[in-house]
Amino acid sequence: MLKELNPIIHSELRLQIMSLLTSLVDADFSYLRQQTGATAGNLSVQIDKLASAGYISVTKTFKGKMPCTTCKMTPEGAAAFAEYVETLKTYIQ
Amino acid sequence: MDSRKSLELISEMIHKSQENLKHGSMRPFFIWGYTTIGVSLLVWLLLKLTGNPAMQWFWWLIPVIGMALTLVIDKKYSKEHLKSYVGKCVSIVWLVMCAACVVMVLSLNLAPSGTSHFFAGKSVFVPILFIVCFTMGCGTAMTGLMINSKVLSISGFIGLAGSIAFMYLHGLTSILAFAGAFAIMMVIPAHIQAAIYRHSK
Repeated sequence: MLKELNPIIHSELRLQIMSLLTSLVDADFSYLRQQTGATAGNLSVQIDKLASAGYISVTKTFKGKMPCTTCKMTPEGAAAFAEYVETLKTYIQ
Repeated sequence: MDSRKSLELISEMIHKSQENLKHGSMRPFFIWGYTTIGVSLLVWLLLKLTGNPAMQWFWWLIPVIGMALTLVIDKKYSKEHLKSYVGKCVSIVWLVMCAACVVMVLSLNLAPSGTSHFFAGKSVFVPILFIVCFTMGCGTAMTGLMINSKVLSISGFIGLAGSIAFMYLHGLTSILAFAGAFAIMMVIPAHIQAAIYRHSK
């Protein structure tokens, strides 16, 4: 029987965010928005879900007068993402 | 969302982040390569015109101009601040190589006149240009190997091996050779690599 895919990662936008963060030290909100093509509201909601699960850490700072939200994958997130990819491979095979 | 679509999405996003990192990744090679060539030619010209050894102090323009340009250009492109784990490792390699180079150059500057090192029973003078070319060659080769760039790996090893020439070259010729070494080791390969990245888009 096939193992269930992690529901926190298995959503289009959340998977996009996790995939982008997997090879980056960190990425800011505007970069994630640009790459995923998501709306600010939707992206913000999905980032919060990933952060609540402990898969990413979110840091809010200021660049000059502009607020800057930076996301970084946590070790728990990296492990969950690796497990997700492994499970996905069993689905393909 | 089915499994195939998930995999496609993962590979698309990873590819996108890698593409973004390629943009501007050759910038440090251009900054430090062109600065070194420019300052070398300036020192060569000043020494040729005046014959005054004090003109050698102009070598310190390399770190001054290089760091100033790095700060200005980093600020200009601060919007594209993205760092991969490979990029972080490359930055650390260059930090260590530059620190090693500065410490060795400083120690040679501060050493008493006529200082030499004994190796295999003979007295050996270590020229500064050899140390700089050697350390920068190491840095270029390591960067090339880490980012999977054949052209930078090969040019780095050429620089590394070619640095031995500075043990034999002396006077004004060595300065011109030094400028040439940086063109071969850093500037030309960086232009080739940047062109490869542009064509792969």
